Amino acid sequence: MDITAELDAMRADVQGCALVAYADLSSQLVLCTSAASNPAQEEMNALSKAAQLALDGEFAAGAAPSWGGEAPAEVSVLMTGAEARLFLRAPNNPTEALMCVCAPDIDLEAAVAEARATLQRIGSQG
Amino acid sequence: MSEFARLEEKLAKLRHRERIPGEGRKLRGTGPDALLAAIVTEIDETILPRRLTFEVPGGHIHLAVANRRLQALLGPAPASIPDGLVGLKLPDVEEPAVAKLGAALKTVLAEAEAVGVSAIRLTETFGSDIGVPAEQLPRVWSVKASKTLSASETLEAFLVRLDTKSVAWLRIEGEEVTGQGGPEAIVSGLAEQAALFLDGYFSKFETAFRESSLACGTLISPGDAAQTGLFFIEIDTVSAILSAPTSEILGIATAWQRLVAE
Repeated sequence: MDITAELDAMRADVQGCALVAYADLSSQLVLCTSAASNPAQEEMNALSKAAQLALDGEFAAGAAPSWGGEAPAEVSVLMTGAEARLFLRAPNNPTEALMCVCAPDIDLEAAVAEARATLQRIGSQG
Repeated sequence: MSEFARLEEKLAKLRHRERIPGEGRKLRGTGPDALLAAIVTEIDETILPRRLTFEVPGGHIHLAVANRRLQALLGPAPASIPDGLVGLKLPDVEEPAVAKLGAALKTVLAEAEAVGVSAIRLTETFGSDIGVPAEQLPRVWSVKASKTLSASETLEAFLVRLDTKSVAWLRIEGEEVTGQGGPEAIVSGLAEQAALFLDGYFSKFETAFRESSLACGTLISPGDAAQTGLFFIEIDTVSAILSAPTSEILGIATAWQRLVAE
């Protein structure tokens, strides 16, 4: 299964997930997207900027001392009353990450578990 | 200087530098009684001295509020408000102007469907014992007190349910730490961590959140199950920072999101 199909499958499996994208954190470039409706480029740019901020930028740097500061942030969730944006770093390629835009009442544990499995499958494809 | 004092000092600097003073929200209600009840709730949630500004048809209502007490109606006021009420100190509920102010507010709110509300630091000085306690206003203004939990009560109810054997938290209101829970060893370091995190949080807030007034939670966690992650939550003007094991933090965040999401 190619990356697009993996993202499509995750979006179908996670209830309340409207968008899944795979991005390069260092360049803030969206590599692949699965969405119910075609997202605007500005929206994707904002999403990848937020992912970089949360996993590698100021948010991550400010949070890291709480776990000793050695390991990088793996998971981040930015929540508003209208949505939950989930970011998960790829285990095999730390500069890449999965980004998900979900309903605000999503089960985060289930969504992260599914995202991890998706990233493992993507990573195993080389 | 204690760890909390450092955090409070940092919060005061950060909020003044990065946050928009008087960032607004909307109160909604069906009819003037419901809107007036919502205003009473705002007064009840205000502990630090604040100038609460309500955008109403025909102008703005400015209230001096501190310690959950209504201290005065401040100028300028809409033309329909009697001049004698503007700037008049309200020492307690026995002051006849309190009932008159309630009636005048109902008149102003009669045409409103929603009322914008914002708060800034109060520059006028009133005595700490001056003012009508919010809990007495529904009776004198003939409105039913709102039965919904205030933001402060919602946060408190959430925090006290956390497992304090593994989860540490600081409750922050304005620029003050107003509560804490969890293992002492973790709590003592959390203030320093909070100051560091909030420095980046406020400086990059607009990058992370498209609609700032809706932000309610930020979670950052490492992958190692044996480590802890950080969860910062906000509801109106109250907030909390939590340190929780990575195995628990997603469940905590889900519970919070379901509590406060639209």
